[in-house]
Amino acid sequence: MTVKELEESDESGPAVRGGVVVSLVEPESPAFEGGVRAGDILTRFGRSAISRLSDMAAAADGLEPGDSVSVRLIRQGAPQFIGIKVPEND
Amino acid sequence: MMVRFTLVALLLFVSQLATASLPDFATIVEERSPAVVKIIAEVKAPSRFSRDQMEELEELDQLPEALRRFFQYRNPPAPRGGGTGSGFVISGDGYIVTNHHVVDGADRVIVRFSDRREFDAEVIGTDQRSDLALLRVDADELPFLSLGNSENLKVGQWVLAIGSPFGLDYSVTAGIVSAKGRSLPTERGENYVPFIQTDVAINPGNSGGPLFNLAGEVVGVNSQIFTRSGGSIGLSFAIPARVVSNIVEQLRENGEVVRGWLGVSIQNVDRTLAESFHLDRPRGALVAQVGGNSPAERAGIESGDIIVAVDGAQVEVSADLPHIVGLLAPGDVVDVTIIRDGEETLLEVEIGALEADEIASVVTAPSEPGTISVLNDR
Repeated sequence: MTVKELEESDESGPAVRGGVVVSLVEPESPAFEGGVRAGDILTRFGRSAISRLSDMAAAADGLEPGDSVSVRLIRQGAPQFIGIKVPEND
Repeated sequence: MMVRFTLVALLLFVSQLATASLPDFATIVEERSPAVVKIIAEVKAPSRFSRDQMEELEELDQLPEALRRFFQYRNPPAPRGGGTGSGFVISGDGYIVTNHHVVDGADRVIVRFSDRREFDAEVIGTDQRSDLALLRVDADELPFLSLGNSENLKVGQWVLAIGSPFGLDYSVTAGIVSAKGRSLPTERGENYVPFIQTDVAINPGNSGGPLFNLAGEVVGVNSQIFTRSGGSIGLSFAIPARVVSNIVEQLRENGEVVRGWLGVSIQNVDRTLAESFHLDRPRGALVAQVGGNSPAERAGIESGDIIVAVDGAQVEVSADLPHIVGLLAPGDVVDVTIIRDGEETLLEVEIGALEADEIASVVTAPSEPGTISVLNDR
């Protein structure tokens, strides 16, 4: 998954107050399997609010293989949660 | 000899069991039919056909006569527009319940009884969200039906419908309760009725008619069917008596319906989300967004909370929430149980009022899987 910081022009309605924009989701990645798509704006990752790219990295830091994490995202102006499962190591 | 005797005894026992378990519909039909009515909704518009239907009809005109007979409507279009439905009397002084969609847009509503008496009905009020309407006819000492307890209705129980499918007055059909609490969101994505699903054959014209339990009480109002052909395929939906009595009382008192408003948009909790929120299993309504200056915001509900109970009623799936909140009265102060960070917490919420034109008190986020589509009967 590739993300970039939200710019003014990306704002998609009053629901968006900060977040990072998903620019690419690799097929068969955990994010893709969970339902994250390019164009989604991530506003929360697990318990952490996301407003900058650095927040994202920090939030993902403690994740262990097999963990499930909830991601709050905004798609076409509507917020929703998606669950992502971190794959077990082979 | 002994074996034969046992066999005979067994057969007798089985036949007795079968007799005992067969429901007696005839008494209910005989006693309740006089309170069931046919609703004729007249529209002044010259045509009963929509523009699309008119175009279809015009296309038919281009077919050779021999072929056309197979495709054309068997009966010529009625000289006046409108439709027919069913309904039932709920008080001796003339109050009658039917579906909103049966009388919607009608210029004149006529109620016909089983003894073929006809009355012009006044529309006291209608409610699109529940698809219910309350009518009144100027009459006294009418036979009427009482509403039963739909909460006690069990899946598998026998139920019976009386109505006018395709204009066939007083058709009686029976079946069992197939499921309860079914959500059939409207075109606006709203969902305020936990429908009773039955396999009772319900067809166009049955709409607004009563669904009885074997005690002869009305447990629901037949309202919608799922169909591909236009006729019944055994997937029928009735508005439960609990909703009917709430809405009818409001229509009778005020002519309109006020619903409780929480101000959250919600979604279902799937397996992965349940794990990530440390739930023992998928359950509850996950709050995706809290409306600004809403009752939910004032009570401290946050996005990411999972609502699992409201006012003592369990929220098993997200669709349960609007069913519960919609029936609360504005100003009610209720307990809302949420799960936050894996811990159950109790919050007190003062329920707000959902305005008539407001989109919804509870919007379900679009991540839900597709739901079945439903065909109305007009």
